[in-house]
Amino acid sequence: MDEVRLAQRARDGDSDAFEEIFRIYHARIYNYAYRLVGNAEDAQDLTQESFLKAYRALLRGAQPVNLSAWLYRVASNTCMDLLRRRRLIHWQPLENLLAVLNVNVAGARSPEEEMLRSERRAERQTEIERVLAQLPPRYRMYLILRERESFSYQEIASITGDSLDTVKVTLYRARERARQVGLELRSGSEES
Amino acid sequence: MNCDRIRPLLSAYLDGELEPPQQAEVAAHLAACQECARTLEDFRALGQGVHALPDVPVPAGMRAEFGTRLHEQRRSAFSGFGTRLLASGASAVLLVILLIALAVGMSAVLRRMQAVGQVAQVVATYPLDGATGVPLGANLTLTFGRPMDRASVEAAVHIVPEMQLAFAWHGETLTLVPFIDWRPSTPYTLTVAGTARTVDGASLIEPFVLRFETVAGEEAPAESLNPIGRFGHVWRAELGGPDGPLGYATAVEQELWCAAQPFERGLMVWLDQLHEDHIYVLAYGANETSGTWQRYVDTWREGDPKSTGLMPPERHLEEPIRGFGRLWLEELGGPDALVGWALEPEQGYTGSLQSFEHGLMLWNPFDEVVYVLWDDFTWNSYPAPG
Repeated sequence: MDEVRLAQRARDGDSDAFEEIFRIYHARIYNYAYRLVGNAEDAQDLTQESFLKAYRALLRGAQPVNLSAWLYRVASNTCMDLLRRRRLIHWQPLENLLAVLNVNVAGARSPEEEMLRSERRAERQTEIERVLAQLPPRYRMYLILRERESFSYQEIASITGDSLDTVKVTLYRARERARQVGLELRSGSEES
Repeated sequence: MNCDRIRPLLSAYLDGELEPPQQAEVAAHLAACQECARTLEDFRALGQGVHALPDVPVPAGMRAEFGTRLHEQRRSAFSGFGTRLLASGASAVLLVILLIALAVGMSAVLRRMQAVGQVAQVVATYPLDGATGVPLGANLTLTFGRPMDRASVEAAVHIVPEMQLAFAWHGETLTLVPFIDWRPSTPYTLTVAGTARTVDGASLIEPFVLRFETVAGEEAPAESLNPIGRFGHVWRAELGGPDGPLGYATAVEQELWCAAQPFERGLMVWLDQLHEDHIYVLAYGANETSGTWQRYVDTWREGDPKSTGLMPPERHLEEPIRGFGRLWLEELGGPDALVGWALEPEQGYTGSLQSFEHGLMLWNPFDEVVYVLWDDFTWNSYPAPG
């Protein structure tokens, strides 16, 4: 069934339809929240909270044109509100990073070269995560929406509620800041 | 060659979001400027790195937990619904929702009936045997494999601890409706004795037993917090009171020192709160009585620069200053902000605020409206009674 009809049915009070929406999107929204806040427990709460808010909004008559972008919007607002409330400036490190890496290494079934490559990939991943962690939440959100979720500028505008010009400017600032942070991290690790 | 002018375009260049002439200009610059070419390469590598971050697995049980929360949500959204329907007589929309819900429910029952075998036993239940966390307002359903003699079933039903139940049949499915909510955190045992018979006289294969435990207690809604005055009026008349989407108040109305400033496409409201000051940004949506909102912490302190240093492009526009100005410039995009430029200087006043289960109400005396800020970050305004 297409998204519009699912949303329509959910709006009419059909919670099965909404559970279907949850089934389709919850892993994406969970991953998005996880990348924004950096820990599984908050990401899980935020995901559930976001979907409940979306459900209530539908019952109140919300008519999302693009269901996926709309769900990201509700999730973005919910996550950003938490980050602002907590003033969570230092993003928490990824607790299960090691688990992910082990899976990668085990999955490589490796000749040495393959092993080396996956180690490099892991290093790169850690570096990216450290860079993201040091960005202001709004910049982090922009980078994730654009680079990881591959949303268009137009979609990012509708998710964040910003104008297209703001999207352009903010993405530039986010990338520039991330680049600076990356350079600092690298020079720091070379010195030590 | 002007790197300062080209650099801010590199990001949109990478995304193919520039107009063709600009795209060409940047490409020409990149061919000649190593510095900018390196920056572009850094941007690209960063993007690839973020894109390649692995998916994290969703915690087990999240879907089931969400199902339960959704069910509770539905219950609270529709509880007290019957009485309100009778009382107001104006809830045609809700009636339609109820009818649709009934129709959907019935068709599910019909599908289940076609699927079950022809045996005298209970073939499906809600909740499942051994379930925990059953909501306090939940109905129980038992679906039998064959058409039952309804009176014999009703006489054979027994529940411990005792609870008065009403019976409703849809085909082979019996719904048991408790007269009052289940007690919280309580194990219940429902039995249907072997004296229950099918319409052609066969008894159950074996007595049926269903055990379940209810969810931990909910705090009784605090009626004493119910809003009064203008909030009370809007809450009851516009929003359906405690059964409406805003739910119960979670605190009493609070008077506090506020400041507000109207913008081209929205407004900002600053609230002097105990631990930290908040600025609410309300952006207009399709009209000026609804839209989306965000809350920010006000970081401006006495002694910080007041001005953003930006001049409004037109005479009737105003530069937001102090906390509003800093937020506007640093978080909202300054002149690119969704709300645009300010229209008038900010004004201080004594306003009020009250929190609810699903949002909050704000009042400011200038425009005589009550703003309802929903917890999904949309807002509506309602005229406040004089």
